Amino acid sequence: MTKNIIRSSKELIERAIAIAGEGRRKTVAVAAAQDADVIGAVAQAQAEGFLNGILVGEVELIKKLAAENDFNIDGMELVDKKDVNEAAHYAARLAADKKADAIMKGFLPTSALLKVVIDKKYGLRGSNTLSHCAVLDIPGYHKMLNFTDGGMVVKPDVDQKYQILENAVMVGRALGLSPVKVAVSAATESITGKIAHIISDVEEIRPRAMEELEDVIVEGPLSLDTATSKKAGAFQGIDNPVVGEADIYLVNSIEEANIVVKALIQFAGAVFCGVIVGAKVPVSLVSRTDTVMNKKASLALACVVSDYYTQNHIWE
Amino acid sequence: MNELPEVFIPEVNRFEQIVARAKDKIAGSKKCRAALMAPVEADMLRAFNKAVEATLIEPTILGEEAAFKKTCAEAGLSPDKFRITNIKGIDETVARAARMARDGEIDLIVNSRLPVADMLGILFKTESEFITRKKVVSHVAVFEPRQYKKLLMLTDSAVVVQADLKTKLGLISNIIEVADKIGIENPRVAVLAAVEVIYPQMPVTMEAAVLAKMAERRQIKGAFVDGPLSFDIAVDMAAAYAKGVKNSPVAGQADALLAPNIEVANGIYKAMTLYGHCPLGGVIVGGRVPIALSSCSDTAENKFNSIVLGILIA
Repeated sequence: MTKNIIRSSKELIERAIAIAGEGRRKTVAVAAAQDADVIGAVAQAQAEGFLNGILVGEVELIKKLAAENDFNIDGMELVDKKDVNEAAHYAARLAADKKADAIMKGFLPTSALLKVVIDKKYGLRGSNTLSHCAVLDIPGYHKMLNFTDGGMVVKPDVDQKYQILENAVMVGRALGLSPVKVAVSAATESITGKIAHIISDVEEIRPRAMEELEDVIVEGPLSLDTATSKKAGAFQGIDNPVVGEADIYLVNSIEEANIVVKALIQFAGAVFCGVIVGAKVPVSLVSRTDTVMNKKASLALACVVSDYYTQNHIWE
Repeated sequence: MNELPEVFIPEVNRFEQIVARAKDKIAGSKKCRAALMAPVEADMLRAFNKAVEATLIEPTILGEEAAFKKTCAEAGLSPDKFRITNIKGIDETVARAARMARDGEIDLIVNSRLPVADMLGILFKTESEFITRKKVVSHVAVFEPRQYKKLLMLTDSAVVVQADLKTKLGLISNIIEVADKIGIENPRVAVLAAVEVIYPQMPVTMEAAVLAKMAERRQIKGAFVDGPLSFDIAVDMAAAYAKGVKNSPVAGQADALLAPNIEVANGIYKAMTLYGHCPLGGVIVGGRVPIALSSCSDTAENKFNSIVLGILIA
């Protein structure tokens, strides 16, 4: 197993291809695959050589969409399940039977898919809440930054925050990070009464993470600039091992991660790789507005996370 | 893809136009009396001096004289050109600025190194009489993103931590005021959320929808307001159309962003400056006089922009 750290979206895709080259090419089961953007993303990743797709859904429509958009789905297994819920169950079954390494969302609501994924009969549920990781490759930052959770838990309480952190650390390990450096977000580093809830979260999460998780450093509260810029840290007079070096930015609400991530994509040219973690297989979802690069990188992240799970027997 | 509607671009859409407007304003009346609160860092002093040399402001320095002179040396400026009122301690300095604002002796406060929370703590004391007319005091940042065809305002990354619905109305009214002074009529205000639809489990989306409805019913005048809008839908017409948000006066062409809370706004601010390398200016409005404010790590140019915004609003 290679120990190289993945620092960019390019390196992430290269790693996914390398994993396939070492004979561990991942299989991704797409639930309700009748969606042109999704078919396009899977076809492209398959052509790049880092995964095999199983398209579960309305086969006739899938074929039609692929033909219309000139996507090559020749090498893919197609499974006809017209009902989107049935398609989700089929994809979950494939993952439970280890015939798929990751699940991808197609033409159905995220909540409908995840409800099936955590259905007890598949045994795919982990001990934590499911959470979303937006791993960004930001021009000007020397490593990937994982914003979490901007997609699943609306307003995490301290226990959920801890689970979100644990999930994100797993992704960090899959990226080869050691130690994993976590910044707990706040708008300001100065301790005022108004952000008391954040301070108390940090006070609870920090010692717990340091004790229960190996090779993790948690600091906070840190604002985005101090978490990612040593210069900003020096300005504020703050110095700790996470300042300017954060791998994970643990936020306080779904709005915070979601909105700041989109600002970085729109106005700072960041490449976005998203994945839902917490289950025994990663769940990938791409949005219509994602660029080709974002979609490819998101699927590569799912493959790299899945490979980390199996190589390290995480769920066994 | 179908053709997208054109984005409305106000006549004023670049910072240089804001600077020109400030110069016009001063040319037609007297200089803006600006108090710079020390300690100050060198870049802010340079920006302040630039405004003095452009004959935009009549400067006053409040704070510890010795420390200020040290900064002058660092910035390569002679302290003799400034009128300095030697005051010991941050509390006293801010209190003096508040008193001068109350007594009509200054039109603008410029802050540099004083922690915002400490400064506001003193200004918000009743005896400071800094808050008048029961207005909300809030921070408005104005960005000039190179990927965007116009200026983009943001509130509130510095003052109001968590606004309730009533306070959000105050934030919008301050946005309208700043937009008006800059020269943007009927600003298009996007109320930000994680999604563009309303979910009962996401209170932010419900408040945004209420604000949009209030604007539609003309309970909010002088602005177009729409929400909930995700960040991409607010500023990118293609994203708005791809996600089915059409016929919105705001989506894809926002002039201003109302963030759900200070963490979000601050994150946007830092993302835009640190990684978007976006020119900006920032000002606290709603008090007796505006306060030009910028982050320590902002460039001297951005600090000048903040002062210019303050001059226009004063």
